[in-house]
Amino acid sequence: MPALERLRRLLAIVPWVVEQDGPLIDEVAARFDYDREELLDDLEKILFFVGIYPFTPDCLIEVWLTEDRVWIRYADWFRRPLRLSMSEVATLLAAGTTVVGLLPRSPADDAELGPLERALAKLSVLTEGSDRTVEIRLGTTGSLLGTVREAVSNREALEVEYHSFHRDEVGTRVVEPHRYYADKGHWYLVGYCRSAGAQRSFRLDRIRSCEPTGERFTSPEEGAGGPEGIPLDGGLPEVVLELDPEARWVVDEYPHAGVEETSVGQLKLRLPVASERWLERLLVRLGSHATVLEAPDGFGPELRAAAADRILARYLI
Amino acid sequence: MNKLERLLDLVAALLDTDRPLSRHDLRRRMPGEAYSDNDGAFRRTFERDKDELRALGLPLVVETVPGTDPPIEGYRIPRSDYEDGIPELDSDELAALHLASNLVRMEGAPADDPFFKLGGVVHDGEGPLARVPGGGNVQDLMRAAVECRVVSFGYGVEKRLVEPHRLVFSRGHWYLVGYDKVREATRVFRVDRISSGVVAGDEHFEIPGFVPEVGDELPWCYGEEEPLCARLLVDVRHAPWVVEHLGSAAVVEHRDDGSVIVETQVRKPEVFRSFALMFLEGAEILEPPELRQDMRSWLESLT
Repeated sequence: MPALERLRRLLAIVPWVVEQDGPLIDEVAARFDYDREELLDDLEKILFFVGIYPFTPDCLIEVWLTEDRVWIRYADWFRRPLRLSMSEVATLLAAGTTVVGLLPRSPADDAELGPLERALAKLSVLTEGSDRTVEIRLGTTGSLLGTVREAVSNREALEVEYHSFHRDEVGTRVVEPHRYYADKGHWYLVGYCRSAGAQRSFRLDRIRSCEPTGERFTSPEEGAGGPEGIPLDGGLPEVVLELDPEARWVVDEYPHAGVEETSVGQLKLRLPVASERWLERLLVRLGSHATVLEAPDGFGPELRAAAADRILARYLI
Repeated sequence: MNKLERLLDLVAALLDTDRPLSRHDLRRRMPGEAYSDNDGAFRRTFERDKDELRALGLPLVVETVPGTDPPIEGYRIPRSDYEDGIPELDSDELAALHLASNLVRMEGAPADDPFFKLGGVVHDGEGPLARVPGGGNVQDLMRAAVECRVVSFGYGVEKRLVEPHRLVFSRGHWYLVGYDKVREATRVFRVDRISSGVVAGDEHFEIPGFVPEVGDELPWCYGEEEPLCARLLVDVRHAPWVVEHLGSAAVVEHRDDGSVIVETQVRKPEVFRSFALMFLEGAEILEPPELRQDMRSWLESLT
């Protein structure tokens, strides 16, 4: 580990060890993400010699090591850890406040603040009233998130009516929910879809309804499901698009199979095609900002033209 | 002497003094082998050490050494600046805070650094519940906002000078609420549309008593263009999602076939067109005529 990283950790380790009564070296290494051998070396061969002028024994830090424990004394200069920076405080407050808003409170909690809320109250004292400088909104999900969360923790199968935007189909399926998460402003449910016989992920805002079935499941989570119920484990046809700078958002928005910059500032992007409808939608939205370079039969420019024709029909009346 | 040992001794010396110490005073108070005997080499190493300590967040101050004429620069780390700002957290509070910051993980920010200061990381194996993009400009804006420093950045083709008041992550994007000093008005900026790096200047600002909320507005509502009032007809298949997404207040008509007409303000026509096209032939812009014509021209160029 570079010297500065070790310095950053040691300035935190020293006051922590001073406060404890001979903590285990293994615990120090784990808490502060320090390689055990490196930590022993730094304690024995470096910290042991640190102090102030004139560096007589009474001016040096005392480090005492046994086989598995460490004591530090007389480290008065490092008696407290370095303060948190204001951006660290702001980031912690934002993350913590978001989580408080997500987690349900049981009636028993109402009487007193939970540990997270107490921690946030202590942190917000440091901000001198500007504790809302940073705010994270993960998007609203109505009551759906609560239903999903309960089903995940109870390992209970859900009957889900889902609008697959990719295929433009609405259908009902039974899903064994494994986990849920938010990404780029959307919430997803990941689980084993019994209709598909595979792991899938579902965007919560496309779930029309979601009912617990009362049936417990035991299947473990396997592999990653692609977005919106589409598998990404290969086997999908791929297109290669050349994108203007205006269309760069596509790279961040969709899982892709490789991107390279061309000499004239354009991007060459290899995209798995989830369905014909999905590709149509993407191509008409991008318009002339994207050129199809390679495509399987039927997925080329003619697909875009046909889709544009169908939409245009509504505007010619 | 090893660099880590030299830096630890330097921090101890800077914390131990109440009065600023000149570079040469500090050299005398360090072990003999800490710095080179050569003045030029010593100076270069010392300057780099100082910069690196500052980059770690150590509050190193520069003051004139009392009684020197011509004035000589002296250095120290005031104890209170170094220490004040560590909340005393009980272990359950620390664990809850760590879990929260793992659940909502800001990308680009070193996740564990604050926790080292708070007493270390207790690993719990929970995967993140939400990843929030947070690299580059977001980190710089956050730092400037908490330090109350005016920033400049490119936005589109223009250069802006802004007091950053709040950062809000909403609908998958970061927004900055700030006072635009050139336009003399509070504005909302989408951080991913900032077209340059963010530079924090030396000018400070006072936190205003009132900072407007960022509404959870739709992406085509942001901008300074005159808004157009658009009506979109959405077929039955997509209607539930659109109503959920835009809010039921946006619905101006429910038709018998289950389709709906929604109304929304549009400042960015190209963003709204892209939204309408997500439904392919399942939606149609009814009004205003200019947006309808824009869609027609766009589609005609593709057929």
